[in-house]
Amino acid sequence: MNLLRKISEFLTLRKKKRFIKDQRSRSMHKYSILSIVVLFVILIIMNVLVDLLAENRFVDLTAQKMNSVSEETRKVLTDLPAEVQIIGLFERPDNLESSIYQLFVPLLDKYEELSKGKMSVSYYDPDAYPSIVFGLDPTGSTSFSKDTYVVKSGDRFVIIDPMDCLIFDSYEYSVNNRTVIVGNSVETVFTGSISYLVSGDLRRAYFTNGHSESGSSTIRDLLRYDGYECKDLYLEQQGGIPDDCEVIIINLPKSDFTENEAGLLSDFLSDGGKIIMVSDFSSYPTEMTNLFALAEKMRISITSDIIRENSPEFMLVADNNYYSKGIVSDAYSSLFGIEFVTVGESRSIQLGDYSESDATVRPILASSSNAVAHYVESNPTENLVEGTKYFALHSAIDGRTGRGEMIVLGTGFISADEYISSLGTNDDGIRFFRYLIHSLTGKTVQTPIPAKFLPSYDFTNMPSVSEQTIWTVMLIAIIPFVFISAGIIVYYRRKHK
Amino acid sequence: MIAYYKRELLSYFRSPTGWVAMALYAIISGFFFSSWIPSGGFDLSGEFVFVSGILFIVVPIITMRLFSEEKKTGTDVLMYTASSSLSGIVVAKYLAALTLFLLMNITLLIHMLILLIFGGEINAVTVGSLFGLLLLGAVFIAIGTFASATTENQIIAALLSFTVILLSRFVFIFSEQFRSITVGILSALNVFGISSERIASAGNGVRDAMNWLDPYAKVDDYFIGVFRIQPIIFCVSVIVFFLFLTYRLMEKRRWSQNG
Amino acid sequence: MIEIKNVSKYYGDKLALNNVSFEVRDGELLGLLGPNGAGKTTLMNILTGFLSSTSGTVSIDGHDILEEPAEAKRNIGYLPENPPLYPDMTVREYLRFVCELKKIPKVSREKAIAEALSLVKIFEVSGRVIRNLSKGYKQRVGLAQAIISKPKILILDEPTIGLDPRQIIEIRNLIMSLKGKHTIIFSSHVLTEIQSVCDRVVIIFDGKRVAIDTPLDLASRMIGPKRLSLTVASESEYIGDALRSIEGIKRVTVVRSEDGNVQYELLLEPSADVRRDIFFSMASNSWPIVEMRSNEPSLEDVYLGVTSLAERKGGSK
Repeated sequence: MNLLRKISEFLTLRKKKRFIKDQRSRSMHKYSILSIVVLFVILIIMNVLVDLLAENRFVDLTAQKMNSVSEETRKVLTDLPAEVQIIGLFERPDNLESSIYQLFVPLLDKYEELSKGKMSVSYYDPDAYPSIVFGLDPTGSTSFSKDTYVVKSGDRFVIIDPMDCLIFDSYEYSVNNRTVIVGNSVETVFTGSISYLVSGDLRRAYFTNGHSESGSSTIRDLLRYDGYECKDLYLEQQGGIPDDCEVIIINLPKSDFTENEAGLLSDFLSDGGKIIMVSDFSSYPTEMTNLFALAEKMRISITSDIIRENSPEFMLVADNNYYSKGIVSDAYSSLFGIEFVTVGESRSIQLGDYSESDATVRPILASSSNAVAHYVESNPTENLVEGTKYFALHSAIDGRTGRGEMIVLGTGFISADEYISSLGTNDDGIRFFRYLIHSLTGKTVQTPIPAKFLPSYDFTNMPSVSEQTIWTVMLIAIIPFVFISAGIIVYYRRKHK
Repeated sequence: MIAYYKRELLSYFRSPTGWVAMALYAIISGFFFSSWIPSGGFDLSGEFVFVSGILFIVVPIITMRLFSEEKKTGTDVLMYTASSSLSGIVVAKYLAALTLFLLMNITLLIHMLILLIFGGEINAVTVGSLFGLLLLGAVFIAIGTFASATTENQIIAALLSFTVILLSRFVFIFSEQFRSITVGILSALNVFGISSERIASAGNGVRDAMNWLDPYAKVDDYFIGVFRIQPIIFCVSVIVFFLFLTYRLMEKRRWSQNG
Repeated sequence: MIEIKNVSKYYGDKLALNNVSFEVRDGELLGLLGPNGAGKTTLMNILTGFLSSTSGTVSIDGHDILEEPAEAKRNIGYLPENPPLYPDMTVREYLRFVCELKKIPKVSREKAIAEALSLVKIFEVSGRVIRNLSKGYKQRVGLAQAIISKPKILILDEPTIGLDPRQIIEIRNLIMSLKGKHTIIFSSHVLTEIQSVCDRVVIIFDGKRVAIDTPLDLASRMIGPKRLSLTVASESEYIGDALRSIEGIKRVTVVRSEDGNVQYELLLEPSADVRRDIFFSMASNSWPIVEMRSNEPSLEDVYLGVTSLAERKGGSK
């Protein structure tokens, strides 16, 4: 009963009646409450207004504009010619802090916003919604794994593994086995995928298979963003080259092609096909007779000599003559805007003397004039003549129905997955390789959005261990000690004052 | 007003309080900093974000005494009978506490200098994080000032601001809890046949409204090097609001019926 | 001039001040007399703007304390019962702070501090931390705080409470020395203190202003019936008659009889001094006087007297 009365008192604010005698206090009370409420409302309105007015206004102060959507992406999204869906095959993460999804979820929301309804982003956990997977690919031939993104437009789609969009510190990984994220290519990948999916100018690139070719996933992904459909080519099984094939990429095969295969490729060239071939010493000492003969027909001879750069200014590492900066020939550097490409352990590619061919050959990538080429299994001898050696050559012939072109590279540094990942980032080299393919297919592509790298926080002036100790002692002992003793001195002096 | 600013600021250094707060701040941040030196590289913004997470320890120390002591010693009479306005005195005391906080952050500037000596990287993210940290500090000091005005007991004032600041660190967790509670209640009481989507969006509304008040989420942008005006407006609003509450609370004693 | 008009103050349900009105003239030393809890402190807090009244107005030189607080407060120096001292400061630091607070120009600050220090005679402790000072010194620092800006009006709430007799005299002399330079309102619950220094006295009892007058007039009113306590070492029954026969004695009552000593209480006419007559009368009868003592009216008596006076006045109207 007592409680009930108290509640009713509380509800009817009976307590206030006690103050009824005091008009002044009551009006002050009212005024006080009112002023607080008014201030609160004003502040809320102000905040809401600012939120509305300045919603998308911000300045990204980071050097690499880590937090803003690039102009290129904005252009792609505002001019989307077709509907695009992005589906995350996982539950939309709520707490983004310190998870890699903070790089994805807000950015894709931003994409959705910028596309003005042309693009949608949704998240479905395939365990909870198994049907979503069937909707993505009705043929059922693709397996979708959880925790990936699917970018879909019409019937075509691209699967993106978030992990592939992260760039790790390869040194930390190889030496300390730690994964340290140094950058990300989220925008590169997603914007690239979107432009690929909606692109009307779609090219087909075929990668040969069946000769222990090197992995090409990096190149394939990037080509896809450039608007290529990348397919596998099993020459022996397929018995021919598909009609839609515009360029064939032979990436570091380790066994020779059969005569039949070489014949098909040769015909392909005669029909105006384009081939880019990479062969370094990873196939040595296997005889690559048929394949090399194909190049020979284009007046390019692939030797078993290794290029040794003797000019220190072009050497990458002081004590290793076999890793160097390749010089891009004028014709290509003016086209691509790239002057040097990191290469290494390269076969020397020479102008062949196959006189029956009327192919025209021109250099792409060369050493300095102080390089030598020596047989890979022998040591360099003194009597070698220094001169310009070639890492890559281009050859063209007028075939039966078109102009066949072939590019041969003696180094896998800029095309093969194993080199790319172990070298960390060789962005210019990879770009160079892609541009070579574009130069063959005649495709003009927009520059892809560069990956965003976190600034390096490494000390350029690493303190020695003793210096570290001094600083540490200063910071966690001396400075606090000075403060504490100042406090104690003040306390005691004033205590007895 | 200036009189109170000077008195409060100097009183931090007349008693051990100011020194202890500075030492504590220096030790915690210094420990964090020096533990990173051997790794050969350090993103200083990480330290600033870390420090912003321990404000719940630092801020109560510098704000607990601001008003609570006045009531206890009877010196509040001076505030009420001085010809300067009470609001000015509230602002003066707040600014004094804020100044001490800024002085404490000189430690962090020293860390910046050392980092420069090591040839480390200082960029927009670093500076933005420092700014975010200072802004958070300014907000929490306003809350601490108010807490100090609510009670005559320093310890209670400290505990109060400690709790509020600590809780604000976890707004995003509570908001999620409140979302599910709202959804649960609405679903249980669903007599009007509201669709489950509506209920879910109501829950999200509750969550978003709470998250909107999260000061840490507000300054997050600064921690990643993005400058926006909204966090500043928000933080200044919170500061103004709490200082006004403090002023009203002090003023209330003049006309309150409870003596 | 201070005008207090119909000031009332409620604390919740409790009426602490009930419709109090009076004026304080410029330059006068006004005593505020009343027992503890009568409402003196409340009244002073209202005068200084520390509290707001529930109703009624206070104006200081024509400035209403609620409407124009800054102007009104500028002329007031206030020493509350519990002096508002920051224990962590030294006396000098504290007075410097008070100077800034009262907006004394920078150039005259040091002079003002020196004057205040010498006036309240605390020069020797000016470098000490207030926390370590004795109660008497603290009181004086508080007083220095109140007078440092040379305010026209000084309001002192029980300035002598809790001090030892020597300190009380010192403070009282100090207040006397300030007389004339300031309008002073000073409160006390000790009658003699007020009587000895004040120009006029206001008596507050139970929240009401029950009297305002000069101490002299007030005394004559207050001192109502005088009492004398007499102990005689004889149990003679004629003593009472003998006493009654002395002129000026209104009533005789036996208080107590013990071991042959009888104690009488005598009620006297207000202005009579009958002690000689009693002595001779007793001596002539060989009744030895063991003790004879004049019972001064207690403060409570005075209040009661004045209160009943006030009530009677009120009743007759």
